Amino acid sequence: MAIYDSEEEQLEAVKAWWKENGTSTIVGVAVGIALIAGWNYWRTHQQEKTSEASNIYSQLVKSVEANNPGAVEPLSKRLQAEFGGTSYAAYSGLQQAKLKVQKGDLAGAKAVLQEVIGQSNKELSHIARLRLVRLMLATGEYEQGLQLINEVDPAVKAGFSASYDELAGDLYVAMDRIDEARTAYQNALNSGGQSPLLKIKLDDLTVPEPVPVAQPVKDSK
Amino acid sequence: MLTTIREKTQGAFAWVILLAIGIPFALWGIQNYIDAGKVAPVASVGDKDFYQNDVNRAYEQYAQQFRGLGVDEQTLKAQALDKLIKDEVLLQYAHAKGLVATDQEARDFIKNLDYFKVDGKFNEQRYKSLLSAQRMTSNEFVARIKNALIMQQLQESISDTGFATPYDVESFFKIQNQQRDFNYVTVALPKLTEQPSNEEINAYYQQHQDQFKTSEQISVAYVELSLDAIAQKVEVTEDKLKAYYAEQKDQYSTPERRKISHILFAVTKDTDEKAALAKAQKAKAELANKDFAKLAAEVSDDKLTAKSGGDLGLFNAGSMEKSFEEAVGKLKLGEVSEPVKSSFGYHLIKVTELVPGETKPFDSVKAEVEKAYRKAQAESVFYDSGEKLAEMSYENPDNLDAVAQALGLTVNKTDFFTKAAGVGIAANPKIREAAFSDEVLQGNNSAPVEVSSEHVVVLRKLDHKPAAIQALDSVKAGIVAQLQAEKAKKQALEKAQKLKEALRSGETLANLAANEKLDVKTLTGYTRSKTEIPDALSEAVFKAAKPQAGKPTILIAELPGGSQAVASLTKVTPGVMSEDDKKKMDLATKNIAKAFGQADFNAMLATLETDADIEVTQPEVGEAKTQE
Repeated sequence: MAIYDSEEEQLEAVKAWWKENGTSTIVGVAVGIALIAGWNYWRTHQQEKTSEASNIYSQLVKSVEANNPGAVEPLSKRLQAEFGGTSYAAYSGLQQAKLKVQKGDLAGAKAVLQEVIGQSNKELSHIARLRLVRLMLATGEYEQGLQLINEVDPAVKAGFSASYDELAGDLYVAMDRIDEARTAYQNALNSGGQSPLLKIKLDDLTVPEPVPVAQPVKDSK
Repeated sequence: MLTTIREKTQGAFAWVILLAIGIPFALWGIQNYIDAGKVAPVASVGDKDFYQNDVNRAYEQYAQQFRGLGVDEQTLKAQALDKLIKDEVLLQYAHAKGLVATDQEARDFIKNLDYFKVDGKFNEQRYKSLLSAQRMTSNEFVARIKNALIMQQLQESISDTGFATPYDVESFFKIQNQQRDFNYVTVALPKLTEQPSNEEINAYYQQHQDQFKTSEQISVAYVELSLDAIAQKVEVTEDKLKAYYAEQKDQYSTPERRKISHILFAVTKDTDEKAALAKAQKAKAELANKDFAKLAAEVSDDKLTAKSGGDLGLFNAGSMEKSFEEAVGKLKLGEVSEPVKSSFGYHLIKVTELVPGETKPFDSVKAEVEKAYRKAQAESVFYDSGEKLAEMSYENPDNLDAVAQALGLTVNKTDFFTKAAGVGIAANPKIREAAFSDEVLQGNNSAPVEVSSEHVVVLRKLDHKPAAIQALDSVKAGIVAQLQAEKAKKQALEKAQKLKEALRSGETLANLAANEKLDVKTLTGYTRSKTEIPDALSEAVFKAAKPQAGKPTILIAELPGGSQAVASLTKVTPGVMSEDDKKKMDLATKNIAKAFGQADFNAMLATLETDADIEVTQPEVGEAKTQE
């Protein structure tokens, strides 16, 4: 920057600069303000929206707790319609599926869970898938259940792999494919499966010792 | 034990809330938050850092739940840190997924917290004072509660939506109530008469040297300086005590309590001094037949106190203007002063409660006075001697006698103790640490060890035994017993295996048992929940393969003590629901559903943890704290 000799010169320089750049400065500031305002508006709008979704979902949970399934359906529909894609829409799907199972409507529960799988983030989608397969186990659609499990890329299963493996084991047991069931349960145990039943289910499938042949078998244990 | 912990934590999401609330209301003040900036974080999740203070606080909360269960501190600390990390992971996920709690929910929640209730009702006053005591604004607190609420919302949406199908329930009972029929014999340990050979004993000794190691031991000589001991030696006379008592009279007195009320006639723009005085005098006259409190309510210009009859509460000397205080000092109980002038205007003052101050007579507190006197006298001696102790023990590093003589102390001795444990003075870890320090092991006096602020010790090595391996002779008996036991077990196992082979090739257990003079026990319809046989056998039976083609499965199980059970599993029957189970069908379904839901949630949390950027920089959490 040049060094000015007097205040007048400084003033002149400022005026000249303003003449040249004044308009763009004003426009720039105006655009900035508009952007900030717009962003704030958008955020407030989003917050209000999620608050409303949260509110509806809370009512839904209260209805579930109060054992009033009639009230759940419309609330859930509203969440799906107006707030589709939010976590609340997915949670309401899980709630609905549970109610349907309790009423014995397994087919209805399946349809709901299918939807949750389609629209949710990956964690919820895993949970919905596991639950859907458990329904298939109950309705005898074993092959389809296995296929749903096999569709999942093992790389993205992460913490869910033990659950998937255990469920696959259950399906194989139902199909009387004991060797595969054993492998599946063993995999579940290896990937840290904690279900208290898992160990019992695996122990129940112990391989028999080979039948002794003519020569006596030396068996250490 | 660990299952108890897991059960208690699972589902008990309340912990998060407890923590959110507990943090502000625990005893630690704000300085913990400020100090946190200076030290390195212990762990971090994403861009959130946790400091030692956070972990300690979480531990305090966590420990309260498990106090009395006998879980060790390190385990609890590790779990508290783990929980802290898990909660943070969950919170960040909840935020990322746009979960929110509404103001109304947060408000409802807060209003139902016992912390803020007075007589069973939410109390605004209490809420505000508790928050301000923690220098926390209501907004900050509400934000914390909202966080806890969305975490709860997230967890419950997964774990409470689990369900169990009829198939799930049926298969559960099929396996849980499964029945197994089997019979078994027990092969006891044989009694051995033959002694093991010297070669065997020697070989065992050579191979198991670790077992026969003794720890390093030391015994020390020490001198100790303690305030108590010095206090006992202080010379005490009646005169000295009386003088001390006179000096410290405040300690043995309770001050006077005066509760006062006043009526103010303020001097303002509209009311000059004269007018105010006139009003005061008029009021004073009225008091002859009017209650002071009532009049205060009507005419006092101190509107704050007027409502309560002019009550100013307990009077503290030094908090009012001089003229006011003097007037108060002269009043008797119930008496009303003449108008008193202060910078506010004119006051009428009344003493409503007067408990005169009291000084306990010397004789009644003599013991107390003596104790305090001794301690006071001893303190200066203690500090002087402490300095001398440090100096002289350093200047004469090869003995304690010089310092003992100079300070009139006796040199005491300890027995041998190890780094890990000792008795008497060696029970103190600081003493043991000093005893095994390089300087002491090399034969010098230790630096003064501050056992407490009133107790200092200097010690030196008497005798030292390095870690060693015990001589064969001293451990021979133990080795013989060990070898005998191993041999007996081996023989029992060999016999069990012979029985097993015979059974597998078609012999019946009844025949074999008759030959060997063994008892056959037969159990039918045995289930997992029964407890008639040792756990080890029950486990082995339920782990055994199912009988194939009518051929029983033969198994061996080692029982406690080393005897061997040989069992023949003949039949496995799938479980069915008992009548009792059917009655509890709803409950069973609920429990299975809950377990599924919980498993889903845990799997989700594990996935989030894998994906999150977690760093734990200090695996031994809270080491410093355990040193206390």
